[in-house]
Amino acid sequence: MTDAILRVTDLTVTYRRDDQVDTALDAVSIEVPRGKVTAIIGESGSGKSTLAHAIVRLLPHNGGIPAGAIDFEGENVLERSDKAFRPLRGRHVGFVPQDPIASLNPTRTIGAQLRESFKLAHSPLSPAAVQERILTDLRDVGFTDPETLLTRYPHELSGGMRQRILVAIAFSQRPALVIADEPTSALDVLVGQDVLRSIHEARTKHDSTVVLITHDLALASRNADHVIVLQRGVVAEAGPVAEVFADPQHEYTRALLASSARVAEGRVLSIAEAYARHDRGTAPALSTDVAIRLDGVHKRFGSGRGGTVAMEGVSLEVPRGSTFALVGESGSGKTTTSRVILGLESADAGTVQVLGQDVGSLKRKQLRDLRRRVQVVYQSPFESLNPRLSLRGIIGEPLDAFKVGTPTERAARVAELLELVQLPAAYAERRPRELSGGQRQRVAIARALAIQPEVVVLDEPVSALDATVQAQVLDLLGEIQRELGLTYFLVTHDLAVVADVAQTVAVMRRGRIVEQGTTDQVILRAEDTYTKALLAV
Amino acid sequence: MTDTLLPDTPVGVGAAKTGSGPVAAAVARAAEPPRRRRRRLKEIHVHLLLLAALVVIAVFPTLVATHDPFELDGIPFTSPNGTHFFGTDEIGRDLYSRVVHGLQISLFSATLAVVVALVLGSVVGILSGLRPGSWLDRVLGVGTEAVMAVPAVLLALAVITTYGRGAFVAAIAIGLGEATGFARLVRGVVIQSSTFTFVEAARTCGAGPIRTITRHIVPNVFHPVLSYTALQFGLALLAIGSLSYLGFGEAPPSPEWGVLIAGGQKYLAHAWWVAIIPGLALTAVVVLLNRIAYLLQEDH
Amino acid sequence: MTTTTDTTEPTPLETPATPRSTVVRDVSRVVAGRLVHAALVIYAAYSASFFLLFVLPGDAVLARIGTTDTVGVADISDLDLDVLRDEVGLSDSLWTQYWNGIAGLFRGDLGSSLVNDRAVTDLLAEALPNTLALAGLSLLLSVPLGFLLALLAVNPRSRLVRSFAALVPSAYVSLPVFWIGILFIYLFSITLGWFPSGGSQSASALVLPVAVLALLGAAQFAQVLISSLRTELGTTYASVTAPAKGASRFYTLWHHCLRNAAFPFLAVFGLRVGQLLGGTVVIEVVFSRTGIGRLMVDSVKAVDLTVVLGLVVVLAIVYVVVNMLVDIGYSLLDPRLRRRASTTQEVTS
Repeated sequence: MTDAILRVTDLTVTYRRDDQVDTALDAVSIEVPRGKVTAIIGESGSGKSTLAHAIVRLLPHNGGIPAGAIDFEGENVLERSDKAFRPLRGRHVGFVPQDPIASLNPTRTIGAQLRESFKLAHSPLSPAAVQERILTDLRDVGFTDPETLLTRYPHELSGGMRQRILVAIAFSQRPALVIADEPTSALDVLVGQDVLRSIHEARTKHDSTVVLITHDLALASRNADHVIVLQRGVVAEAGPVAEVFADPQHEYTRALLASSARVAEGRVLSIAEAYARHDRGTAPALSTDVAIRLDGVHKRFGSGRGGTVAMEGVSLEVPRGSTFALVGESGSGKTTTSRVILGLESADAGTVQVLGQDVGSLKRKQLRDLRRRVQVVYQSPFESLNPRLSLRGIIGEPLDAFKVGTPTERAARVAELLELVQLPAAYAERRPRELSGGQRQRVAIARALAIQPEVVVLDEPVSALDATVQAQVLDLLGEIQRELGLTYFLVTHDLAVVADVAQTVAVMRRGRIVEQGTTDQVILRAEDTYTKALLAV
Repeated sequence: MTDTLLPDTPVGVGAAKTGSGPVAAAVARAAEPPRRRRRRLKEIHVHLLLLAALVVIAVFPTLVATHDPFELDGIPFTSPNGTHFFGTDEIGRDLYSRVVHGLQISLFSATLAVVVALVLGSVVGILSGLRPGSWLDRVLGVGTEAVMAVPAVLLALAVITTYGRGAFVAAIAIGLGEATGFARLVRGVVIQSSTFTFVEAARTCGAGPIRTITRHIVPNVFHPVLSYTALQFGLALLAIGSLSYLGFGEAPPSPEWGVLIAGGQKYLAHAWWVAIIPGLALTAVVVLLNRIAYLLQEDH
Repeated sequence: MTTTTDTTEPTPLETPATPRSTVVRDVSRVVAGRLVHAALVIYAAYSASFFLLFVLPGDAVLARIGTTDTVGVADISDLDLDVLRDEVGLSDSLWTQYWNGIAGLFRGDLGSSLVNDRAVTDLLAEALPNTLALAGLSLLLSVPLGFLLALLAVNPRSRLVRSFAALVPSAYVSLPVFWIGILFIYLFSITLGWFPSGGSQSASALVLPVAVLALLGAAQFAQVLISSLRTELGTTYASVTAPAKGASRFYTLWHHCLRNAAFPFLAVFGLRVGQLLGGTVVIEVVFSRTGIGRLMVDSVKAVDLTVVLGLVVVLAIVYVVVNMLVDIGYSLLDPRLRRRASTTQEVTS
């Protein structure tokens, strides 16, 4: 038996909801070896976050632990009262929360929030020593000028900076165990890497054990020594990362690995490698006919000091019948670009041509006519569907709005569309809340296709979905494109998605296009340093 | 409009909420209208039924009244008993029947006040919410704040100074004051609803402004506005009672509740019920309305 | 906008700390903006009340002739009325009266009563101290009481205690304020004989009216605080970060949530002051106290337009000034608004 700092035995966690009790974790047993990084992976609803919160006893008020044991340093901490458990937090177990934006008190300075950990842990250090240690800790997590940071407020810092401060807080009392709950899932990839690096530095320096909760297989594979795969509240598989990923024993693990193009044979492939392995058959030649053309488009929000530039001289061309991908991190201006194409924002300068029409000069009615030919699928299927309408109402919306055909014909068309996106016809009477995320996104796709558009703008169509579902939705989009000869304008933050589906790619950063070309060019022969950095992830 | 990325959003501690794939079935099950929602709906229905009963009594007070509210049927200051449920007042009128008849005036004045407030407030709110920050929005904002600056009772009194006393004038005056709250609420709701992604989605689907408003915005903002209306209804009842109590609503022989309370105050020492019971009735109706407001809000 | 990410790409850390001079300039800009706004609101309130009162048919001259208690129409010959109108300046054109009124406002002159010729400012000066004592005292008591109620509604472990504490404020605001006054008189004055039932001379006469209003204020404040405290307790920093550092529930509530919940509370505080003033008017009548309320009721009965207008304007000014101070304080105290306050001055409620 290995030296385990934490051993969870037959842990069951339930949530009380109304009159029923949902089991989130069902007799879960795990072991966390001392001094290593253990990743707990799973999709949403797998119970991985519940497990993390149960260990530090921070379950929401409706959560309960009817059975099981949590042995920390050989003591079953479940037997401790809440009051007796409290001294363990901070001093012996550190916690890095998921969402850096909401996890710091917005009205207290960073310095005050860092000092608070020492106060709550009854640290014997003098105030001067505390100050010294905070500054050292901040340097360790990558801040070059920590003094100025202490008097700042959270809203003055970026998400990545906030998350690194939360890392510093978690390690501040030198706990033996630190649990990080999806520490990078709300961050851009490059920023997330910095955060992971800071966790590793702190861990090595202070000799701590880390439990890393994540949905990202590549991340787990790169950062962890051991891995525990959770599926619907049950441990599917556990063991050293290399073994589990190279030779998965459980069907679910295999399914997860299959959906991630990035992990193969127990290691993480670079995007270029994954792209090279990808079988695309013989790609048809790109059409010379242009569906969308942007020429020197500028867009600025607000004015004066508070204003931000969203697009700075953006020019691009989308060949008809192909998929064009616009890649960028948050704040790059990629969503603004898609909104300009849809005529939802007007450009300050430059021309926007969609299907041969100048969007900027269109009258309201002409714009509406253009929308018969250009449709959109939004990022979040939870927000883009009116919760009060049935699927028939939602999918039929464009048909009703443009008064296409008779009511019977429209009903038939809705049934046809449901079939196209592989949903049962009986779903027509359901409401969005009765569907899962992936199903909702299919509904959004069906709505976009209802009036047979020529161009579909896909704004991060899969980023809100689990990996296995992402693959299904992307496959579906591909099939439909081949069948109907559509042009896709795909907006995404994920170069790996691009490699799978796009023929041409543009990389956008801070309102400018930094690299543009065919997918081959951009992924295999990138020239821009930023593109290279993205590809190196 | 900054880009956002939303990778997988692991549902924190809430287990299966937004999941899909293997959990899809579980999610579909969990999304069924839960029992609590049904119970709450049932509770709303019970409360609405009570309100409906009150409206019926208000329209046909003779259905439940035992005496004529203006006749001198008993010995003055009889304490509550089997014949006179709430006792009698200083000249021997049956207090129970007077309270029942008073409901009519209170309920109808409050309705008038709320209708005035709702219509006026919605117009102002929609006009300013459609283009927030425009000069029209600013002007209406200053106007709204100017009306809010005057305490509601004082505003009503000022209106009464010019138009004379009476339940009708009092109701319109109260409605004027309450319109400010509606204006702010509706403005906020209009601004908020334009940020719903599905509203924008409807626009890109080709839905015109009228279709967007009736099909996508109104049904989704209906509940907060309705809930606020119920709340304001209760406040209007209280305000109208206050004005009558001060002597600016209905005039004395009327069984309006504020008038009853004011009349009874003089005899508090030896006949507490004359002032206290109409107040209890007023409180009960306001509590009912507040409860409905609360339930509607929760349901949303 | 679900998950916010590194939206602030050029992080503020790269920009040098704001020099003190610009901070001062920002503050003065905020203050100046609020002042202009306040002046506009007062002007609008005055104009609206003026036209409401003076354009419409109610004729103060009728009141002057002696029908002091009826607000109806009396049968009086036109000749007498014209003479009288001249005397009080009501025969001037509406615009002249309006501009004279505005000019008077700047001089601190609100005209004189149509009924007894006394300066409105004198009448106000007589009535105000009593009202201020009542309103001020109840406000002073209602704030700590409101906080206490709110804490009781969120902190105790027992769900029963919490729901009961949350129920009290919402029940209290359903009660007609004048009726609570009467109830208190019945209970504490008539039945128990502890306090006088009214009057404005002794300090003990202040107890019951202050109690009614302080409880009303506390209930209203508690309602706001309860909902904002619940929101704060649900945020990640309070439900995860602080406990993960080893903080107890009460520590989190006291050191983190209470402070942050106080911001929305401050925002509605100004609005509630107006309602409290309205309640004061009614309560003064219930407890037969002299003050603004009494003056208002008498003036309305006598159709004393100038006094009514004066009262409305003075209370509007009180409301606007309180709200202006609250807004300025709010935008200076809340670090989240400090930077934005300089660019957008539209911080209302």
